[in-house]
This record gives sequence, structure tokens and C-alpha cells, in this order.
Amino acid sequence: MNEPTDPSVADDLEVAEWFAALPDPAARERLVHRFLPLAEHLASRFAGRGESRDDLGQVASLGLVHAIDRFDTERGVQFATFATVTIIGELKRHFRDRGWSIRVPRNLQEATLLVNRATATLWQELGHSPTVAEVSARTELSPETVLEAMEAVQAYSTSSLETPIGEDGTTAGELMGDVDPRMAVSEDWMAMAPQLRELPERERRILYLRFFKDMTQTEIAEAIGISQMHVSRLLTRSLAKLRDAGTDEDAT
Amino acid sequence: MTHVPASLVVSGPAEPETLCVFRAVASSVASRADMTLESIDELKIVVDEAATMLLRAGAPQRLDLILEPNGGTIRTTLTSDGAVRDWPGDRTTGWSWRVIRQLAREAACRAGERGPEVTFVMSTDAR
Repeated sequence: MNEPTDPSVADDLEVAEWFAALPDPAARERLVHRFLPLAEHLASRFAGRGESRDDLGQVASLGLVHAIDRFDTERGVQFATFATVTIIGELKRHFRDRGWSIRVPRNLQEATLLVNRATATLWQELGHSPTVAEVSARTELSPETVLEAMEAVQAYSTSSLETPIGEDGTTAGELMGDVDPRMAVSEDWMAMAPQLRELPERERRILYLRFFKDMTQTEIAEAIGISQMHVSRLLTRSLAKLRDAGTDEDAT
Repeated sequence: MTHVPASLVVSGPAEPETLCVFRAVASSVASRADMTLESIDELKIVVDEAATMLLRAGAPQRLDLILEPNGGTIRTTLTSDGAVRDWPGDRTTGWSWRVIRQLAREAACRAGERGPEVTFVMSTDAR
């Protein structure tokens, strides 16, 4: 029966101990770490609906953190059950509330999804970024449509890695694994563009790695644990913000 | 995807909206030159940064984009008809120039025949 040596029981006891230790940040982090695979699994069930896996993973992580914060150990419900309901709720809310930041025709949304998938697959197969011709051949979309889809990706509202997702201000980015030592950022480089200080920390870090540490988008993606396409989106968005801020300054 | 033009010139009003056209043309030429998706993304970034530098210099009315694919590279020149008296000045120590220098294989910023000019060469491979 329920012997103390039963691994599942040992797991349950450990989880109960971590909940008892809340709001200790270390206990919270252990809970997140333990149940992150569940969040990722649930996120994968929502794949293929026009959202990138990265974005879905972030939303599911947010749901997991909410579940940890709201879980009542006295109610006799298994945390995994409660977390599943909460995470799915978060994913459904995401699809209801978010998506494309500007109106993008449905067929272009679908093309973008196809291009994203094919790019990720080809990247793995080829070991480098594919060309438009290769993506076109794989997706059976015209090269022009592939280019259009690449541009449309920028209109997609990316849930920021810096969005606080816990009461203690924990961000999705912080839940994505330990920071690679190569990613340590010095402060003095920001003197070059004061507007850099206005960007979220993770976006600043990506800019720093690309423009001061000479890391490629792919290397940054690997170090941070997100896709190259997501890095590209964040880079483009951050640079556009900096340009806009510069324009505002010029105008004043 | 087979025909790669020897060179292509696009001209437009010196307005931020022109950048969308420049980006689209640049990415189309780059795809015909078999540039990777990552490189195309970065070419568009450099076009944006260079055009922004020119839009802010010498009150230009027109912007020109010249693309010259050649083997494994694309030479791109952006010019404006703005005043050149303080060009490039301290712009080559600014953020936009840093981005251009980092992403392009070669980059130059000078006073051309018509006005301020930014030229850069990007390879078809990432980095």
C-alpha cells in the first residue's frame, strides 16, 4: 500500500512540504520546476492554432504560477488536478484575449504558422537557418507568401518574457532556466543609447548579446531557451522601440 | 526565385512609411539571392536603421535604396537628398551605426554626390 518508500508518495510528501514552506521563494521555485513539464504538456495540446510553442509555453507557465499561488492544501484536491484546470483556463483565456496585434487575414495567419513550423523543422535538419526557397519547397507556399508571412510574424503580439506572472514579480523569462554565464550584462554599454534603459531587462540582454557579444540569433536562442524566430521578433521589436524613442527625442 | 537582378533602385518620399517598401524590396531581392531567413531578418533591420539615420539628417525630401546582389553578398546603398553639412558627424558613434556595423560585413557612412549616404555589404549567411 502506501509505503513511505513508494516514489509517488515520496513525491507527494515533498510537494506538500514545499507548499507548507510557501511563500519561501526557494520552495516556490521547486514547485514551478517540478510541474513545468505538466505545463509544457498542456501547452503542446494547444499547438497548431496559430500560436508559437514559445508563447504557449509562457502562458502555461503563467497558469502554473497562478495555480501555485491559489492552491489550497486544505481542500483535499491533488495539486496536479488543480494545476491542470488552472493552466488550461489560462491557455483558453490567452486565445480569447490575445493574438494578432493588428488585423491579419486568416490565410496569412495560417501561412505564418506553416512557415514557423517548417523553419523550425528545417533548422534542425540543416543545422542552420533555411532559405526562403527551402521553406517554400517544404510548405508548398510561394516564395512571396513566405516573405509575407515573415513580415506578418512581426504583427503577432508576443507575450513578453518580462511580463510579471507572480505576486513576487517573477517573470516568464526567469522561469525559462538558469541564466547562461555568457549572458551577464555590464551596465556601461547602455550609455550609447539612454533609451535602452527603458526596455525590459530581457530585451536589453538580447540586444547586448547580439550587438556587443557578437552572438548570433541562434546562439542567443539556445542560451535563453527560446526559438530563433522569437529572438528575431524580440530584436526587431526592441530596435523599433529604440528608433521610435529616438524620433520622439528629435521631435522635442 | 531564379532571377537575381544585377541591381535594383527604389526611390520614395523621405517618410517612415517608405521603410516598409524598402524592407519588402530588400527581402525579396535577398530571397532570390538565396539568403537565409535569419540573414533576411537582419538585412531588414540594417535597412531600417540606415534609413532612420538618413531621415533624421538634413531634412531630406527623397530616399533612395540601391541593392546590388553579387555572389554571396548584397551591397546596399541608401541615400537621401538631405543637406550634408554635418553628415555623418557624431552619428557614427550612435546606436544605429553600432547595429549596422555589427550586422553588416562592411559599412560606410559618407557624403555622396546627392547627399548623405550609407552603404553596407551583407553576406547571405547569418553573421
